[in-house]
Amino acid sequence: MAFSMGDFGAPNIVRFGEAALVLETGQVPSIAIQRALGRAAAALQTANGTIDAVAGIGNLTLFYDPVRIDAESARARLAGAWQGAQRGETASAGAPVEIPVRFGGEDGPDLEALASARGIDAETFVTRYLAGDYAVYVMGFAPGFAYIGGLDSSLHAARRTEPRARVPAGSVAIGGAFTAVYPLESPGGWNIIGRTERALFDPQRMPASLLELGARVRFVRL
Amino acid sequence: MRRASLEIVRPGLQTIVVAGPRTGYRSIGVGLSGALDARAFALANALAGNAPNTPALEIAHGSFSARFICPAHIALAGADCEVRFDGVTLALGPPRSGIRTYLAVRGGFDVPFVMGSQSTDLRGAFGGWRGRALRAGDLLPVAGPVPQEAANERAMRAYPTEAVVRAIDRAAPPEFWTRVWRVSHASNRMGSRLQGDPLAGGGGVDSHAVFPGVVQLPAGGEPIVLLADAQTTGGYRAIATVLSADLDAFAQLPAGGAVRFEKWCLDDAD
Repeated sequence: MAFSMGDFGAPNIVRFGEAALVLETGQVPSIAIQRALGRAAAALQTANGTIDAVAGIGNLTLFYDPVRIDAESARARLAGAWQGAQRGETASAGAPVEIPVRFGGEDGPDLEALASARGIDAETFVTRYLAGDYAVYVMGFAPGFAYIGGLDSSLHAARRTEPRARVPAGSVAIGGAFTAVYPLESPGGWNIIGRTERALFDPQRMPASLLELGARVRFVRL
Repeated sequence: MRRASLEIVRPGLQTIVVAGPRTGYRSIGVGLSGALDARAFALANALAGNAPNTPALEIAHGSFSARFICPAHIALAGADCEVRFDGVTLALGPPRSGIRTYLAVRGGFDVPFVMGSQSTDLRGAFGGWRGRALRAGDLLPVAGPVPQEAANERAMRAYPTEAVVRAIDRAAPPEFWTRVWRVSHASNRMGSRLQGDPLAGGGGVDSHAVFPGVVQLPAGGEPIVLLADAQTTGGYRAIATVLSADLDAFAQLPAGGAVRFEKWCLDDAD
C-alpha cells in the first residue's frame, strides 16, 4: 500500500459511550501520525467543554462535558483539531529524554533468556537496544507509563505467559514491539532487561510525567 | 480551635479516601479514581451536610472500626452493616449484602488535592491518604469546626446479588446480551471480571482510550467491565459501554453475583 507522510486521509468519528467520541485516522501507525494525534489532543485539552483528550495508536478519543457542548459540536471540534494537527510540524520533537539504565543481573532478570533465545549474547542484545531511535507512541496502562517505539525488530519479544505480581519501579522492559519503563511498582507481564533510577512519574512535579506522547527517548548505559 | 480527627483501629480489607474524579491527566496515563458507588458516596455526603465530592471513606467488606478524637457528625450509606457508634468509637460489622459502605463526616476528611483531586490513586500511589489504603493507627484530620455533639445518619441498604444493567452496544456478540454473567473473585476497583460461557470474537485491537463502563472482551472470551480505577488506554476489543447511571451496581455485586446486560440505544440515554 502506498503511504506518504503527508497523506493522512479521511478520518472516521464514532460515539463511544455517553460523552466521548473516537476519531479513527484509518492510517498505518507511524510516529508522524502519533505526534499529530498528540498535537490534536493537546489542542483539544485546553478547549472549553473538554474533559480529556487521549491519543491511542492511530486514534484519538475526546471526552467532553455534555452539559457544556453537545455531541455535534464535539464532533466538529474533534475533526477540526485533527485537521489542524495534520498541518502542524512533525519534524522536531526536541532533544531526547535520556534514561540511564543498568542492564541484566537483578536489574534485568529476563535479559539473558531473551538474548540466548536469539542466539546472541547479552552484550550484543544491549548494544542493539542502545542503538534504537526511540519515541513515545502512546501513554497508558499506568500513570507515566509510555509505550516507546523504535525497538530493533530482532529484539521484539512476546509478553511473558505468567505476568509477575511485582515489577519494581524503574524496570526497563520489552513487550511486543515496544519498550517501556515501569514508573511505579506494579504487576507486569513485560520482559525486564534493566532498571533506571530516573523518576518517570512524580505527582508533585510539574509536569508529573517525564515522558509524553511524541517525546524522543535515548537509553544510555549506566 | 480544636481539630477533629479519626484514628483507624481496624481498617478492614480495603478502606480508601474517595472524592471527585481526577480529570485532565488521562493523556499521561492518570485515570479517574473516586467512589465506585457514586450514588451511595453522594448520599453519605448529603446526609453529613457536605458538598458533593467532599472526601469520605469507601470501606470494602465492612469489619471496620475507628475512633473519633472529638465528637463527630457522621453519615453512612451504601452496603448495610451492623453499626455501633457511641459518639466516639465507630464499629462496622461485615455487610449483610453488598460490598462497599461510605463513611462521610461533616466537614470532610482533610486531605490535599493532588493533580486536581483528593481521590486516592492506588496504582499511582498518590492522592487520598498518602496514596494508599488506610492502616491501623492512621490519624485522618477532619476539616471544619468540631460539632457540639455527635450525630449519625444512615442510609444503608440491602443490595441484590443479581443485577440487570443497561449498556450501549458496540457490535457485541449477540450472546453477550442473552447470557447470565457471574462476577469473579479476581474483580477489583479497576474492573469487574465476569465469568460465563466464553464469547467468540475477543482479542487485541490497536490501543485506544478506555474509561469506567467500557466492556472489554479479551481473547479468552470472558468480558471485563472497567470501573473507577480503570487504566486510561486498553488494547482489547470494546464491545459495549455500561450506562454511567447503572455502573454503581458493580460496586456492590459480590463475587458470584449475577449480571445481565440490556441493550440500550444511545439516543435513549441522552
